[in-house]
Amino acid sequence: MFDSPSTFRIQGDGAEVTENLKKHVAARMRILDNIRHARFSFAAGNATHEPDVDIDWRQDPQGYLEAINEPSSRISCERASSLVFYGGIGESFGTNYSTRPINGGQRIPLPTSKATEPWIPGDWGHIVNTSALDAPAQWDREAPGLEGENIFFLKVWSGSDVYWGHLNDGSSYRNVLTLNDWGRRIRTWRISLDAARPALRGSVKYPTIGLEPGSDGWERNTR
Amino acid sequence: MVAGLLLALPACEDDLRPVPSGLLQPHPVSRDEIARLVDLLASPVPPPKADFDSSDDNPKFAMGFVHPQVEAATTKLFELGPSAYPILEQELGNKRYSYSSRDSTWRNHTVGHRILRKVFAEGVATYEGRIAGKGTFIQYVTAFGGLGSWVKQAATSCRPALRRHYLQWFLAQVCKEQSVDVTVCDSAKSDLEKMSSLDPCEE
Repeated sequence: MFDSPSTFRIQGDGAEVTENLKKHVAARMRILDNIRHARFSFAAGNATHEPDVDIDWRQDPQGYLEAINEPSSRISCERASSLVFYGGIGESFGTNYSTRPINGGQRIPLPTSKATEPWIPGDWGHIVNTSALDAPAQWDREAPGLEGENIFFLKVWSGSDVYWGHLNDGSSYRNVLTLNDWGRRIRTWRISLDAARPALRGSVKYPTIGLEPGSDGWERNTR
Repeated sequence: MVAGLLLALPACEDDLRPVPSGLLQPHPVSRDEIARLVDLLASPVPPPKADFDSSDDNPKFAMGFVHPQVEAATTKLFELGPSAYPILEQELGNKRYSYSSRDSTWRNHTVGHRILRKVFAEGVATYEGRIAGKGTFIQYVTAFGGLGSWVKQAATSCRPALRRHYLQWFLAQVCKEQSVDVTVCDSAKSDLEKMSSLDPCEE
């Protein structure tokens, strides 16, 4: 957060600030923990499968995630992202998150090994397959579910930013890649007349727990 | 492990062998009744969200949207089995809104897409979607002369026989690639082995 060109305003005064900062960091840590412990398998379309459990994910996303977190559960990348994120912030949808713009729209691979604007661990972004935007019916017909890839920023590792996406079994090391490697992976997706063209979506979702309400606790730093 | 799997891959037949007619159950409904069911695949309400809208504003639509009328008609068409496919094939270009899915983002789909995915591919291409972009239903039918040719052959078959044929293709063609997830291929091989002791049309 300190590395970001944005200012995150923590809610409260005095000692409250420290407590609220801890709450915010804890929410992001829970998202990362959920990713670290992911065991569910990848699937899209007809192949998805979630076991019947007695927990409603809308009421208790974290409990639901833990109940279905088995290799026999087969879920899509957006569903997996939704569960790890909303489990981390403690409620499904609701008010504990917001979106903020990033330098989106850039084609991937990027010219550098890092996104031009720092992401914060636990930020949820999306790589769009712009080829599927141009020819949605054709992609739908031939290769359903390949409209893009949901990714989470994890950390800087050996000098490169690394991101998790759910494209193999949950625990697979192959799910942790740099942004450029995600781009290369997505460019292997093909239909008969075209190949995927990856680009970053222009915003990320992030937890707002502990941040000042009203402006989503965020503003771009003009310094 | 990949090498071991490759050695054990079953051969895939070029054509679907017709299933003995005594094993088939011709669909007992008329062309008019099929047309009525196809009509019910068109959603009576518009899509709740725009295409590619990934906003999370309503938990009700977290998994997509299918109107109960569309769900019920799909089940009935699915139960008719492959002998109804040639009639249904004529509706693949039907562009009326049917349902919405959410795999990597929100997508709105047509009646034709509903028939392709939820009647033709469902129960046959059981590993479509398990490996991103590989083993899809369209790749499978393209390998056997295209969708039209497959529909003609499928009409004289039954869904379990079609699934067996798909699994043979999946193991022989998709699983030979080095990059493919071995656990998915092991699972497909196990499915095929379980089917080997059954009659062609036995589930």
